[in-house]
Amino acid sequence: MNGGVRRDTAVDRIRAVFADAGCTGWLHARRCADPRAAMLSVRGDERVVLASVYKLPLFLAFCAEVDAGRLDASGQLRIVPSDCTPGPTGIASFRDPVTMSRRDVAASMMTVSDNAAADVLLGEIGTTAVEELLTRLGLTRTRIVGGTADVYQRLVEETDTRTTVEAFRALTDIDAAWTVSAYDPAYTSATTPEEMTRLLEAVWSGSALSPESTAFAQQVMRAQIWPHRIASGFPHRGVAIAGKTGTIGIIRNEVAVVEFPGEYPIAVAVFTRAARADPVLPVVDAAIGEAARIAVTGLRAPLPDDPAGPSSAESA
Amino acid sequence: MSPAPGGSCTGGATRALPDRLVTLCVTALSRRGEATVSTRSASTVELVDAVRSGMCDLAVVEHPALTEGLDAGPVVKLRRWLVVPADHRSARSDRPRLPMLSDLTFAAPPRAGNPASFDAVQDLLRERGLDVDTTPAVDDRAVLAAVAAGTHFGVSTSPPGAVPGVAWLDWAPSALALRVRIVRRADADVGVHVDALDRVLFKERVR
Repeated sequence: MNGGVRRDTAVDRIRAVFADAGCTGWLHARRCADPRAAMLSVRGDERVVLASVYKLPLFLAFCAEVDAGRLDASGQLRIVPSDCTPGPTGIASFRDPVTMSRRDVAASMMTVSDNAAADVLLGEIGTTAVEELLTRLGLTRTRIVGGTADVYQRLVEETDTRTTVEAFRALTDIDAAWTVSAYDPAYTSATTPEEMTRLLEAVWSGSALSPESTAFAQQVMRAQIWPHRIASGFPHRGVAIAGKTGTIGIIRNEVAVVEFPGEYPIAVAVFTRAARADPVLPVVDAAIGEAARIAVTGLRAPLPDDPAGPSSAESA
Repeated sequence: MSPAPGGSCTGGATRALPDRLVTLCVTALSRRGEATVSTRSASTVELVDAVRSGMCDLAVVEHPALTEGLDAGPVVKLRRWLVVPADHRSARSDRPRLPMLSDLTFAAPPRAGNPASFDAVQDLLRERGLDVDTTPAVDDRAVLAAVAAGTHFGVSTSPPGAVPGVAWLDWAPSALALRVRIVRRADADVGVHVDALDRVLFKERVR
């Protein structure tokens, strides 16, 4: 009876999740630090817009600069919020000047996607340091062309508006169907989902940074506060999600490492582009979580020395 | 696969378009000298697939929709009305409000036909204070039949007319308008056909 029943593959299911949410989706997932290198890809080799996911390579480049002794992580920076890129979180939302250590600025950039912190940090290390890190790790299709301030300035110009607030309001106009450079990987910071999981794998395997910086990077990424995307796919006890989101207009992304106790960590990168221009689309956020869950479930495997034994969920 | 003058052209029209507009589009294509103009009426998702695969030369589809890989023209707004049972209290009101329809079920196109536009309409109704169950109605005929039965309301691009048991409400014409775009493959030589359809849609747009 079951002979004629075709079960959808994980790739089929992920494609259906994206279609049902009204978005185009790209996904890559890989088991970290596992010589079997199990992977899953849904258009994972295509170039996609990074949006605020660019803060991840920037953060790791900062850690590499600290490792090289070129930056003092605990050095103090005075930041005047009104001089910075606007944003709803972190220093960007502050009213008064603050003095913080570089590593706390970096943590604010990662945990709450603080735009002001990102531009301060980019100003500290420059895009050259980011390019050096990407080159060292062989990520040739990832390109950082500037910070949030640059993207926002171009948005204001392209939407013929005067402020960032007006530009974002214009992008949500249902009748406009904008094709701005921030949506085009040829003109803005971009990567491929496969390169993003390779970057995360390099961090989790310890090959990208010193042991101290690796631990710092993992701890900061686990502290990201957003629960609505990849984390929504794993509402289980004991699971840690170490991620970085990215959002601009119709673009909604997240890359993360999903850590189940006693199992190999799994890196997953999900990039989407919605049909609707509405500023809030919970259906797409949830689709990112569901697609990640389908991908990660297919790659789960116990660590070799785990006394609990093999997981019944292993299928890769 | 480009339609040559005197040859054939296959155009697609979303089921949300009113009959009159479909015939205006076909007439406009015929005037371009095509010996044969055939029309496929289907959901937006089906039409986008048909254009991608070459089954259709071009199509008028709903917006928002996933049109990746195709050239999509500007968004055009077309008039759309709320349709309610003729004996419903909203039909007798001078200023009908959306929450008045809370005792009815929404007869809407199946979500799978274009999840993005389905969700956009749902969110509009909820934003304006109406959160009701939906039942699928594949086209205007099915919507009007469900409305005439007295238990449903719907949205329709068919202008007010003599349909027994159905009343048209003039509500939020800009917000409720049907958004459409013309889609084509980038390598398809259908520029003159797109221009012809574009002129038709432009004349019929909500001003």
